[in-house]
Amino acid sequence: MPRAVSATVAALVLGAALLTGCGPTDDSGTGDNKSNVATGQEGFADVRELAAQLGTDAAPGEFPRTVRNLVANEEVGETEIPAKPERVVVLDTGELDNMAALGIEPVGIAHPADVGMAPDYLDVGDAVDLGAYDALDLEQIKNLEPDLILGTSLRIDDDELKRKLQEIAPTVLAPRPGVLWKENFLLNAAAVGEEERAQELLDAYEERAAEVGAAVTEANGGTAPTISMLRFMAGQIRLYANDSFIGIVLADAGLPRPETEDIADLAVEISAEEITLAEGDWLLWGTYGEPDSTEQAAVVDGPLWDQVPAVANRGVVREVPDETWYLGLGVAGAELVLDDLEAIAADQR
Amino acid sequence: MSAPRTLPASRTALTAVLLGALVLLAVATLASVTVGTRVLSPAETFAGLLGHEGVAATVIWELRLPRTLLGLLVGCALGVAGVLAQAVTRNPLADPGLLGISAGGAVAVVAGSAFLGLGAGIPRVLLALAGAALATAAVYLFASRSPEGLTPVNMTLAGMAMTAFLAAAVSATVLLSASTMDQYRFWVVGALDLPDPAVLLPAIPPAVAGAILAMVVSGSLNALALGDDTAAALGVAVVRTRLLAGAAVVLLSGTAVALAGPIAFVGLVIPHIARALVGTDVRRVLALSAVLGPLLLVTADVVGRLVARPAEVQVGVVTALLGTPFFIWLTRRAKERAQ
Repeated sequence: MPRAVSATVAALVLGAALLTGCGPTDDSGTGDNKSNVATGQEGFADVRELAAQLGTDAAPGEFPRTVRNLVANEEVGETEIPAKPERVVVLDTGELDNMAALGIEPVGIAHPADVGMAPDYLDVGDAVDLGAYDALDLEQIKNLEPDLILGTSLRIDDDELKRKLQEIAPTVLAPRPGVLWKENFLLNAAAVGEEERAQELLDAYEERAAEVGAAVTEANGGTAPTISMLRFMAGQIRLYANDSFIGIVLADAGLPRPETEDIADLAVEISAEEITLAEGDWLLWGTYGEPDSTEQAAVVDGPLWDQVPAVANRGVVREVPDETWYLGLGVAGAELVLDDLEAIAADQR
Repeated sequence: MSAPRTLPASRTALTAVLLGALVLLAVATLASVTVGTRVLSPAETFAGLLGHEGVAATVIWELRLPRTLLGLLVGCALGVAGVLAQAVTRNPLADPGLLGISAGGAVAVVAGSAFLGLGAGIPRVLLALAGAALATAAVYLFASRSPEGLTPVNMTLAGMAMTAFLAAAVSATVLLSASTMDQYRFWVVGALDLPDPAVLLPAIPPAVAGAILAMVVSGSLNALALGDDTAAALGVAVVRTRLLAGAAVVLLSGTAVALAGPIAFVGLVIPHIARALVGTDVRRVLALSAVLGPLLLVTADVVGRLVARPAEVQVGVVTALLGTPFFIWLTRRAKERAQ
C-alpha cells in the first residue's frame, strides 16, 4: 500500500506542478498578457510613435506614390502604389469600415473568425468573402487581382506572410486596430489617395463627438457620467479601457471612465465573479459572436448583476451593438456609436 | 498473477480511512466555496459565509455553492461508475471515459442540440443517458466479437476506438454549427460551470437510481471477480449482475455527462486509489470511491480556477493532467507484475 500511495501522491504533485507551470505568472487580473489582442505585439507606449511615422509625402491625389507602413513587424518600410487603386482587398473590419467611409467597395474582405464577412451597418456590394483573417487563402486573394491590400501588422503578424502579400499586390499595413483607428483611417486613405476626404470626415466626427458628449453630460444632470464598457466574448469578459476604439471615442466625447477602466491598455480582463468591478455610473455592454458561447446569460441574468453599481443605482444600463461599439473600428462605426449615445442621452431627459 | 491486495481488513481501519476522506472532502468543499476567480479577503469571506447580503455572500452562496454541489454529485457518480465498470469487466483500465460511454453521452447531447434543437433540462439528460447506453452496447459488441473474446485488452481497445470516433463526431458537429471553442471545450473536455441550471433537477433521479443499483449489485460483483464459472457456482446470476451493473454505469456516467461534459480519468483513478487503501471488496471500494471521486473533482476544480485567473481551466483538463501520470504508472505496474 505505501508504494501505491506514494506513487499516487507523486503523480498528483507532478500533475499540479505541470498545471501551475502552464499558468501565467501575472495574477494581478488587470493585464492580458496571454493574448496579443490586448497589449499587442508592440507595446502601447511606442505604438503611437510608430503610427506617426507612417503615411505619404505625395501631393493630394498624386500617383504613383510611396506609402510608409509596416513591411515587417515593427519595421517601417515603403510600399509603392503606381496608380489610384480600384481593386482593394481589406483584411479586417477596420479597413473595411475605412473604405466604406471613403465610398470605396472592396473586392475581397477577410474578417474575424466568429462573425460574418461584414457588420450589418456596412454595405459590401458583391465583394468576395475571404474567410477569417487568421487563415488567409493567398491563392484566393491572388485570383481577385487586387491592386491594393490593406490590413494591420497585428492581424498579419508573420513577416513571411507580409512579404507574400506584398508579392500579390502593394500592401499597406498599419500597426494595430483599435487604439489607432483614426491614424489607420488616414493611412488607409493615403493608400487610396483620399487623404483630404478622410481628414474632413475625421474633423466632422470630432466636432460631433464633442457635441454628443455635451448632450450626455446635460442629460445626466450637468455632470458627465463615468461610463463602463463591458464586453462578453467566448471564455473572456472584458472591461474596455482607454487604448481601445471605444476608449478613444469616449475620450473624444469628453466622457470620463471609472478608475478601473481609466488605464492605458486595451482592456481589463475580469471573471464572472468580478462583474461588480464595472463601476461606471453608466454600464454599456455588448457580446461578440454567439451569446450562448459567452457568459453573458450567466452574468446579466445572474445573482451578482443587481449589485453592479450602475444596476443598483438605477443608472443607464444598456446593451449596445457589438459590431459598432467594439468591432467596427472605423469612422463609419464611430458615427453610429455617437448616434447611440445621443439616443441614450435623449432617453434620459 | 499476484494475489489481490486485501490490506486493511479490519472495520476500524476502514472507518478511519472513510472518516479521513470525509474530512478532506469537507476541506475541499469549504475551499471550493471560499476560493475562486474573485479574490475575497478573509474578513469578506467570513462575512459572506455568515450573511446573505453583499457581493461576497452572493459569490459564495449563489455562484460557488451550486457549482460545488455539482462537483460533489458528478464526482460521486464518476467514482462509483468507475468501480462498477472495472468490476463488471474485470478490467483495471475500465472507465466511463476510456470505454466510450462518456463520449457516447456527449455526442448524443451535441447532436441533439445541433440537429434537433433539443435544449437543456430533461431532453439533455435523456439524450446523454441514451447515448451512453448505445455506446456501452456498441463497445461490448465489438469487444465480444473479436477473435480472442471479451478480454480486458479488447474491451479497452474497442472503448478507445469508440471514444476517438465519437470525440471526432462531437468536434465535427460543434465546429460545423459555427459555435466557438468554448462549447467545444465543454463537450470534449468537461467543466463544472453548468451552462444551464435547469439540468440539475432532472439529473438527480437517474443518479439516485444508479447509486441504488450500484449498492444492490456490489455484493454479487465480489463473486464475479472470481470468474464467471465460480460466481455461478456460488449462486450468483452472472448475466443479471452484469446487466444491472452495466445499467448503473450508464445511469451514472450519463448523468455526469449531462451535467459536466465528458470528464475523464476520475472513474479510472479513483477506484485504484480506493483499492490501494481498503482492499478489493467491491462494497468498500464503492463506499470510499463515492467520497474520493468528489474529492478529486472538487479539488481539481479549485485548482482550475486559480491557475489562469481571471480565466478558468476546465476541470476536465485538470483531472486529465492529474490522471495521466497515474495512468502511466498504473500500466507500468501492471507490466511489472506480468513479468
